[in-house]
Amino acid sequence: MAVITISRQFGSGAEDLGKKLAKKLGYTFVDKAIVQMISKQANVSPNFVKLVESQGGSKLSKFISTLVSKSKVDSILSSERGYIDEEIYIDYLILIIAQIADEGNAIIMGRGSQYILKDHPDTFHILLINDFKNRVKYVMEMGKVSEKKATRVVMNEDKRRENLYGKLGKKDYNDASLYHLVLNLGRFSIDSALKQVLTMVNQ
Amino acid sequence: MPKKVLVVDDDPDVRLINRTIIEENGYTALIAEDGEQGLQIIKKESPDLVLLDVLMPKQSGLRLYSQLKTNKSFQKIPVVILSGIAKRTFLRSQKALVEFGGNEVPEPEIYLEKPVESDELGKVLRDLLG
Repeated sequence: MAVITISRQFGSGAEDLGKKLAKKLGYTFVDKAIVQMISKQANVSPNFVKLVESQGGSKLSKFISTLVSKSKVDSILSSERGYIDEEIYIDYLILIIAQIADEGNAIIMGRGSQYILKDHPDTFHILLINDFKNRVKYVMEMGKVSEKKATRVVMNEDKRRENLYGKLGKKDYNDASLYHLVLNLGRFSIDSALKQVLTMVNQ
Repeated sequence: MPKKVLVVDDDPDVRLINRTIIEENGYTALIAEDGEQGLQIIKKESPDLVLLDVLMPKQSGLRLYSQLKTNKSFQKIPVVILSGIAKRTFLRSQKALVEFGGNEVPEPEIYLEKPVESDELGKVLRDLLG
């Protein structure tokens, strides 16, 4: 009935490892499904949830003057029946991740799960990192995009992660002491990393 | 003056059933569809008991419970959590909320996992309200 949370740098290859791990252990792989679950609960579209996840600041109105064009925000908000802000987002995130963990046998990708399940029994927290160059290369290969675009994507995702954790009041997500295991996937193949994680879970 | 019981639940069927049980037991039912509305009614009506769902739009029961138990004006109002979420999940979520800056609060007076028999809920109301 174990739970594994995987925190990662975007483009590190963590999704590949998470999926392989889930298959090997027969666990449920939970990644973007959390967005769907939150959107269903809040009666808003997944895009609205992603907007809340991706933007910094404390209020929705702040989005309008910062990174997202007003027309995009307006078009998303006008089609919503419910409402979600950062506080509601955090409440749903906590409740949904806690429910998934209580059911057990799950691999949960990111979204502050290492904090939400900090003291949860039978839970392992893993951080996966990789060199910036490797991460750009990974995105180029996976998305079939230019180096310039891949670099921009990685930088934007790093910013999104920083914003999301900032919103959760957490700045220490790269602190190794939060995790049972930290692996640099630039120095381990996915299969070697998989063996390391399996050894930890099965010990 | 009959005692007032506030039902905070986003499910219209649950609201209707609970209203019936409350009134059958001789109390006055107040109704809110989400945590935000629930807080407004609590401020205005000072209910004697709150029946609180957890997963609701606008403001979750997790947050409202924490607000009530950390506010001197409301912390003595008994709260019965009535949810499809297991008690241990709720308690762990409460701890996680503290991790994200929330206040530590006591466990709910009574925690009932849905579905709840009307007799059971009626007994809880009578035990808490007399």
